[in-house]
Amino acid sequence: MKMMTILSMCVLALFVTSCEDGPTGPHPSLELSLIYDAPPVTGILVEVSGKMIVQGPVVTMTSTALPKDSIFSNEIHLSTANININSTPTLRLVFKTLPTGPGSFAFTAATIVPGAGTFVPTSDQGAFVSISGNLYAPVSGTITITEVRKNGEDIIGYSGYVNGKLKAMFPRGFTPSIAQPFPPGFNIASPTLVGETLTLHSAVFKTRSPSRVRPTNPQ
Amino acid sequence: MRSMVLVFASLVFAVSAFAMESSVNAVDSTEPPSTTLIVPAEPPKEQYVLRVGPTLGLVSGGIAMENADGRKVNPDVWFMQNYGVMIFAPFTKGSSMGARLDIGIATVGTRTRPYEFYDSETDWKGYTIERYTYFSIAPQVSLYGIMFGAGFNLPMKGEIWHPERADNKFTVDKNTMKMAIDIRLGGAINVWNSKLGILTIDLLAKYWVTGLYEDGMYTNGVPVTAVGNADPSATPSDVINLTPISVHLGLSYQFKLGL
Repeated sequence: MKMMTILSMCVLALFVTSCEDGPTGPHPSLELSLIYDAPPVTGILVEVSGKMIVQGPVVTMTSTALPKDSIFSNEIHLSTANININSTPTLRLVFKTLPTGPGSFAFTAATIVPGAGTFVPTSDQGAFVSISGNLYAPVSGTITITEVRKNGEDIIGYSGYVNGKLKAMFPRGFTPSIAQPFPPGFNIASPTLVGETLTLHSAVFKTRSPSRVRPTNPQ
Repeated sequence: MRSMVLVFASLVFAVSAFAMESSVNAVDSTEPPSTTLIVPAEPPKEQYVLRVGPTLGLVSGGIAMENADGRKVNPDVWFMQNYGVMIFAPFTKGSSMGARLDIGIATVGTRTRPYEFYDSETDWKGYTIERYTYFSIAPQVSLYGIMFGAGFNLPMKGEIWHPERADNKFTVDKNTMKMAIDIRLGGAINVWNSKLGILTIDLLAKYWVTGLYEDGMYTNGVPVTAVGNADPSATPSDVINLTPISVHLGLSYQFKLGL
């Protein structure tokens, strides 16, 4: 009995020494700047503004390059193209106010609000990912700003990374009809996200666009 | 590292204290009573000796057995990251054959070259390190020191980092990792046997047969081009799992507990 007690305590001690959830941190394979050779040409430089690894029940694990970026009054927008349509992969980072220095910014879980004849997911801080024709809103996670580039009072660029869990408002493939305007589980009196979960394993970004933004409410 | 040393020290202390007490009791119980002075002494009765003690992995190495298209793998080596306790129960009194149970922290890893021009290097020189930590319960059979069995490994932590940026790690989403089963073969070489216990050198090879991730969840399991972009011809079934092999060299001190 005494031996069993000692062993049980040892096992417990071992188990609690380190248990960590994720995802957190920048994935090291997400390089934004790369020099490569394609003989006879060598030293070819490619740069993108962001890269992200996402995966979910209806999204195969994939790494997506985001060469375009812009900074708005309270958002950083990264995309595969200048003009975004529904099928264009984008990563939109929303802040309560634009960060003026490095730091971590926890997601605020998205809520659903009535929009123009429909419902729209909204959050005052977090990451929204548009991929494969579906929009995923923040549930939990963190945006980490590692560098803020400034020109006087103006912010001209950001570097950082994002990790987190997101969720779609409706399941993919759901088509509203008169008989079923909303998917099962969606309560219009108290609407919540009922679609698939998307894991934003890691996104790394360094904006390159000639942005110049002045935060209206510095932190 | 500090917590590992503390846990290991406490294990040694706890098991040592218990073993010392058992050995004292054993001596007391064999003391002949005064009334038997005129009776011829019986030959000492052989005890069933259970062996319990701490284990410490000194050096470990691992490599993935498979890589996704556009990636490569290399072996990685690490030190002092496996530790735990073991119990050896002989099949019969005095037998060198028995059942062994190892419980503790097990690590496995690999070096991965994410794509050909990673880190702006050529010829696959750039790489990342992947390291996974498990709480492991491993029943085994030991036949004269030759061990074989299986390990049931509950995920505790997974990390991927660049070797020159170790303070900037990517921590894997633990929900994407599964209970990994390894099959193992190895040996325990007796190097010092005393009344208190046996010091052994343990050498163990493991094949993580189930893989470490749930299906489709391995972030480095996706086919890529030479510059790291997603391979447009890849399909969901091309996402591989991480199935490494690992070897461990370590020590265990097995206190003898007479029953």
